[in-house]
Amino acid sequence: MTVPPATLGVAGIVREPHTVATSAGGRSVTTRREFLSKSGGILGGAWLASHWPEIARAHGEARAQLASGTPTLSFFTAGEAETFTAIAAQIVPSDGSPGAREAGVVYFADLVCRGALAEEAKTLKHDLGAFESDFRKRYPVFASFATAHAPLQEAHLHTVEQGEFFGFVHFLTVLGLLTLPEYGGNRDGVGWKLIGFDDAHVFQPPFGHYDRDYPGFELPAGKQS
Amino acid sequence: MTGRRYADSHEVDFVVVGSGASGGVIARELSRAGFSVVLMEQGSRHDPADFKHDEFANYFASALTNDPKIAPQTFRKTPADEAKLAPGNFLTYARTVGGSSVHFTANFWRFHPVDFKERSLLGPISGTAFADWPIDYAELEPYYTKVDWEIGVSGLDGASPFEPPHSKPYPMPPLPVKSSGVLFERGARKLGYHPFPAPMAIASQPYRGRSGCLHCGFCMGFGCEARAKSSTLFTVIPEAQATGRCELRTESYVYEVPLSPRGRVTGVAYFDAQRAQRFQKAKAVVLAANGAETPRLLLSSAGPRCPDGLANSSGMVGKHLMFNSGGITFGVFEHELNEYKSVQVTRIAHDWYDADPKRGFYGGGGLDARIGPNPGIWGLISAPPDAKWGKAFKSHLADFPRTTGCFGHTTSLALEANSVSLDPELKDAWGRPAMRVTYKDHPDDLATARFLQDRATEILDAAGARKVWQVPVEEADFSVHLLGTCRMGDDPKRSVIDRFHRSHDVKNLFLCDGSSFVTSGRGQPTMTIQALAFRAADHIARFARRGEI
Repeated sequence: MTVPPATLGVAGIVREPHTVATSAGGRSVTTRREFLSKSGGILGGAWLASHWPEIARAHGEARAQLASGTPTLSFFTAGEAETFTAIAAQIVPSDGSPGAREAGVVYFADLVCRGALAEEAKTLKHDLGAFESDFRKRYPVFASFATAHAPLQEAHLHTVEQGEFFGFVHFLTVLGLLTLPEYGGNRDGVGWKLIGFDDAHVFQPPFGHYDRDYPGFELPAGKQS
Repeated sequence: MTGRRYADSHEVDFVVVGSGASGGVIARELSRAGFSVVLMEQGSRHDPADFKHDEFANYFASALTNDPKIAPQTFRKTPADEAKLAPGNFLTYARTVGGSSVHFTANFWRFHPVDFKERSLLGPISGTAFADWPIDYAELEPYYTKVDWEIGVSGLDGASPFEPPHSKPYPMPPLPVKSSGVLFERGARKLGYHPFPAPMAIASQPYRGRSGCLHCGFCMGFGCEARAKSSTLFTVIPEAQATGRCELRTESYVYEVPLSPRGRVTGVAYFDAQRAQRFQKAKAVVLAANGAETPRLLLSSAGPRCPDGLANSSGMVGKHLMFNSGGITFGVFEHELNEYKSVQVTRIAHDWYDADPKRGFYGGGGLDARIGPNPGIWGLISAPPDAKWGKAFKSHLADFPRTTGCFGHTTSLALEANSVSLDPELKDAWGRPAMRVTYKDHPDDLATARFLQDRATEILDAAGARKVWQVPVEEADFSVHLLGTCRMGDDPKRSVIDRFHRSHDVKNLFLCDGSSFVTSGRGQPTMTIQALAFRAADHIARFARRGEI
């Protein structure tokens, strides 16, 4: 048990968490079950054999996959979601590669704001409304923040970037981009692709460029290991 | 594994409160020594199959840690301020079997001899409660070695010229170096420093029935699905249960330890999983509930015979709360490091460990090389000041594989005003007084953190980083190192426990966890907490055998 039922129950999202296909060093790990199978040799056969049933029960294919199709919103109204998404798309723009909009961060925000972060999100809907009406008052020519052109959106956000409201939207955007897709954001792992993160469970050295040809640790003079 | 069960009415030899880094060790040692033990844990037990790479659940939904929704805390900077409801947990610890040894990063430095006798070496620091420990490194050394072997530490002998003597080599070689370690080593050596492989409580190879590390990268804040992290959950707790004399009782929240008319404790009052109030009888009680909950429990146990709290005739219970300070510095390199792989830390340096009066402030510490957290947390905390959002932020995010950091781990001075106390109004979900935290960093702690940030900047520059930036050091608003709140000492007027962890006031009450610390060390307290626990258990068993409890 890691996620409070209040968070996941509402959306009915119960899904095998590690299903993003990845590849590193010519190896591809697609599911947790596969990860466990492949790592059996490293874990030690006896441990794996004795724990396999419980692991399989907890994480195996018995768990329903996230239903494909469009997730629904129930915390935000359509209008609030549009404003939220427009702000998020300024925080991580979609310039040439997927950003916050394509990651579906608003679905992450919708889920956690009616679940684990309900207390923190108490004023979010009100704040989104106030942000929107303030924008329309200043720029009556635009029907909404979301329909304004990007440079104006950016300029306007600079006027609120120090405030708590922007800070909270920023927080939700970043987490919605980079946390587990089971929360509704990071759709198709686009956040992880953006940052070059490989969601595998087993790695072997070398891990990166600089440890590839490491000659070994040189002990201080006079010391022997 | 369920193991032995005792009835509440069965007077066991010991109740140990808290199944974390210390309580697990003490329960195993006492049950192996032939005593009956009930090990109480307020949280539940998690198995490796429960541990997911879920940053949101672990960092924001209290999957493993104390939950502010049921156990709120209030916070103020000084006793003159009004304490307000803290937005999250100011003091965070794991509320699960194994305690914070489940989710810790597993840095396992030993303290140095200087940590125990610094007050004598440097003299007093005005306005602080800077003091020597009543024990020294030599006395603790055999127990550090016990931690190396019984808990399982990977490291390289003789690698640091600053390392204090070890009576036995490490049982496992160090974990394989990461790119951050190679770069840190390169930069530090260029500047004349002495980097070395980090000692870690993570198995670098199969050890005593546990797997070696799979290098999944989710150590800090996460339980280990491979059982490679040397948590008490995977080591001493099952061994304690295997004696047939230790019962692990989960979801049992101890809220009071009453004092009898004879001046002794007779057991513990607790809420069970159904929130029914129960009482477990015991001949002696050991509190190992951590540096926040141990003092809270003592203060909550105030009664007619101890109006200021149990074992608190000194008035020192809850005072001298210490964390460890430290700053974070990031650097971006040309090629990929992929810091999200493998353990958080592979190289550290202790060249600044000792305080140096020439710096103009008290303090010292070490640096390690790591990016630290995983994708989400990294996205939240790492952005340079000129790239907080927008295109620059996106391109910063894309630098994740090429980025690493240097984290400082430094001293905190003991100040009487920094404390854990009971909030006069707020209650937790069980109706017990909530924790009130008072904390303001001593200016020297912040100066030390910034001093080491500047050294980190130089090291990353020397290693060839193309961009380096510092996360501003600010006053603490969060800590997981909970230290000093029931300090050890020879003087019953200035300390809560004696050198053997026995409370000065109550003969059959012992305390052993981060609260026992007299100074903060330079970070990474769990190694020392566990060495103290092995030592305390030795003495407690000796007292019990002689009928001196």
